[in-house]
Amino acid sequence: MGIHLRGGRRTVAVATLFVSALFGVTGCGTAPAPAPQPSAAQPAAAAGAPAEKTAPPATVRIPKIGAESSLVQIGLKADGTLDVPPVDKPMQAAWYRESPVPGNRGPALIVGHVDGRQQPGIFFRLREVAAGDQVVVGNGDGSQTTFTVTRTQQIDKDQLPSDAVYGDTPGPELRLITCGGSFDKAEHSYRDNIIVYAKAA
Amino acid sequence: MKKLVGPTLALTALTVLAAPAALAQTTTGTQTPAVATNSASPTGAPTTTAAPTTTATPPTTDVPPTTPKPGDHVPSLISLVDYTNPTVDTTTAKKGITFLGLKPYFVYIRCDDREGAPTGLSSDALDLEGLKLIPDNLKLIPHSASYAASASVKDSASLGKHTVTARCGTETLTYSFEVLDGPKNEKPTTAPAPGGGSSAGAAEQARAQAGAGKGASAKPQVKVRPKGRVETGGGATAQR
Repeated sequence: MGIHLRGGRRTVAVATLFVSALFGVTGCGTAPAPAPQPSAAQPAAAAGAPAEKTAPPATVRIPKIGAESSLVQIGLKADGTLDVPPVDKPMQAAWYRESPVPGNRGPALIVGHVDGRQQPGIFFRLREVAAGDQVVVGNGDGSQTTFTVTRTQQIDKDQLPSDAVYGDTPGPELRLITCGGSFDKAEHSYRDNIIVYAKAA
Repeated sequence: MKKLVGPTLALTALTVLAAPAALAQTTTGTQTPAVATNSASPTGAPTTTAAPTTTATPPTTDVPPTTPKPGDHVPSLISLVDYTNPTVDTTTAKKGITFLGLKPYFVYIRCDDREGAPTGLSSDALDLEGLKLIPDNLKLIPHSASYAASASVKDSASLGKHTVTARCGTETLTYSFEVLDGPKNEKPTTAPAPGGGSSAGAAEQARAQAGAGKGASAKPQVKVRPKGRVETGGGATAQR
């Protein structure tokens, strides 16, 4: 099938569809799966230990910066990198479904855009969060967990501290991630990530 | 796609982004006059009532074009393309993946503009958005009109052979592809993340402190560690 000029034409197709999405012309984002309804409770942990939360997180709120969002679930892209909420919905935060349910032991991971669709995103002011600030995560079962920020970090994206972010923790913790630093126009990407580390209060 | 092309800003951006590709086309076109060829390439409007079917083949190398004549019928075409590799057709489509949070594929269709826009775009395995006309200010192929629709594989799609179809005028176009399982059901290769001996030791120590398990058999709290960078910004506020 000789399709001369086809590669160039399809490059235009990519530009057309991709830019449409970025500018919100089409609203064609594929929304990640909404958080499923709470499932039947699993057996409680051993006597004396706090019961494991089974309902996925539904909301995140950071009073210090006035950020509040529902949570959708995200997974991994084909290349193994973390998926993100649709960039045309910059006010949508997301919970990484392969991380612990917030409030359970381990580092729960929530990500949000610093901007998108020509406007600030849900975590636009995340860089203003400091140690001692609170983050409240509501679960689908109506319970909520309050976390206290222990530290923040701005780091080159290529130097993301995998163990600190994803490594096991003794208790319930939370990681909030967004983009930060200067913007690399050639790569169309911010150079840094802003990471907020928090522990259950 | 919920809305059709509207805002001037977006149109401007489309034009700007389309320009390099268009220029590339011009360059190529001056070396070898452009035309599209197709196994089913009727001259003029189809005269039979039966709709011919074009079945796309796997990616092939472009063949030398011939000069189009103003009255020639533009051969119709349909294919499936991966956003990450847009210069070739893809013969496979994976379930459960996205591209920057958006649909990871698009269906590419070319019709003769005298027959109007494509109709009847459908697939039993793809979630399809609306067709968008691809800007072509140079019109290197007279009466050629290209369209694209973003696509992703339905969660309900079975693994194996599927098709996507559309019509240009009375001609039915069909493209075959194979649905593959997505990364979620593939053998995991990312847990635990590489980090060297000291990092692995630290993780194991934390795991022991957490009482999550014993030795190497303990499952990490983050079941699968993401690789690489976390991309959470479009750059809109970078200059603020």
